[in-house]
Amino acid sequence: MATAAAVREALIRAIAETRASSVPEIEQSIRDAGGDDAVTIKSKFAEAVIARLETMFSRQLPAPADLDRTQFATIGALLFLLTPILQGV
Amino acid sequence: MKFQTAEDIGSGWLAGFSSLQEKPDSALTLTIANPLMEDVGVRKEIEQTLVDLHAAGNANFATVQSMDTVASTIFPVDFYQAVGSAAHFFEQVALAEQVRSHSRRKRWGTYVGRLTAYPTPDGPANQLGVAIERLTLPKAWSSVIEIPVDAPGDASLALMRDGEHDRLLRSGPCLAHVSVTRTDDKLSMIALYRHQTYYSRAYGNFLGLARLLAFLAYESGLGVGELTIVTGHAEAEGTERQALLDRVRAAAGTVTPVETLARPFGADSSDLELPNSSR
Repeated sequence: MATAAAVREALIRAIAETRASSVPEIEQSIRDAGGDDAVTIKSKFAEAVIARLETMFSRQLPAPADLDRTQFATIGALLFLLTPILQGV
Repeated sequence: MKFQTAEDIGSGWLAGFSSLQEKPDSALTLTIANPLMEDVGVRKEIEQTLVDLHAAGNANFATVQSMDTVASTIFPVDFYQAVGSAAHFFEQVALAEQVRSHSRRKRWGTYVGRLTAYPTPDGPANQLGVAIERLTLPKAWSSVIEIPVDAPGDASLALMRDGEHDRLLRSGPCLAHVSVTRTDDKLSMIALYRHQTYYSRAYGNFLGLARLLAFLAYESGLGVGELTIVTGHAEAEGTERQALLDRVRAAAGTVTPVETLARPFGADSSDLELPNSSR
């Protein structure tokens, strides 16, 4: 079972790969923006990030097309959505 | 068929919408001379109107999207971070389509999915990749790129892997074909729509096509020429057309460059969302 910290770490890694960037650069951008709830994620970007998480955790995850915009609008929202699923809660 | 020309995307939308005032269902051809300029005032007024119509319970606007979201169905600019990164763009699109493929709402897919992985008997074809290859050949052929998005009709069934969706009588895909032409080291585009709604989609479609044109031009070392949109059935699907036209004309005048590359990660993008509330 993945911890909440492990889920966040995986999410940030997936974001970094999607942006062709590094994890430290992404973390710095998040701090500069004001935290996980301040960084907006658009639907196509969320799809690519979720695809990477599906591979990392070997399981199918919700598709943004099936969700309300607020459920994937920020990094914080994505974590709120995905952490319980990836923890098997 | 009505013909309109305009300088930028905002004035293009206005010209097209003006021509639909008397008859809200028409065939319409619109040429935008400088598709890398848009009018944010026009865009914002269209989006506010969509939110107002949605809040009023208008059935035609049960679900509404921002123009940036509509544009992303053709070209998700978030995946294009720098000139020369086409391979990375294609990889991200493929991943996004992978998730969308198990969505309950996957329907026929997305335009960018068909542009980069069109279903053929030999497997998915990356039409944008082929276009860039051809546009960068040593010999500068002017008209060698035809990109079908939809292949309707029984005669083409043998060529299709997605006959179920390509033969849909209603719903998408509404963008059927994209043609690009190289002239004087500039790339121009003609997009053919079987149906296009002017309230919900047209401005976002123009924006997405402009970004797609810029991507193909940048990756081929070419300049950006004209964008022509040919629509068999252009529809002003809402009510109070004259009122919307008046409001958009009043809001016009904030002409700015179209964003053709992704914003830095973490940058504010609240301006790309729909307004929070109706008027």
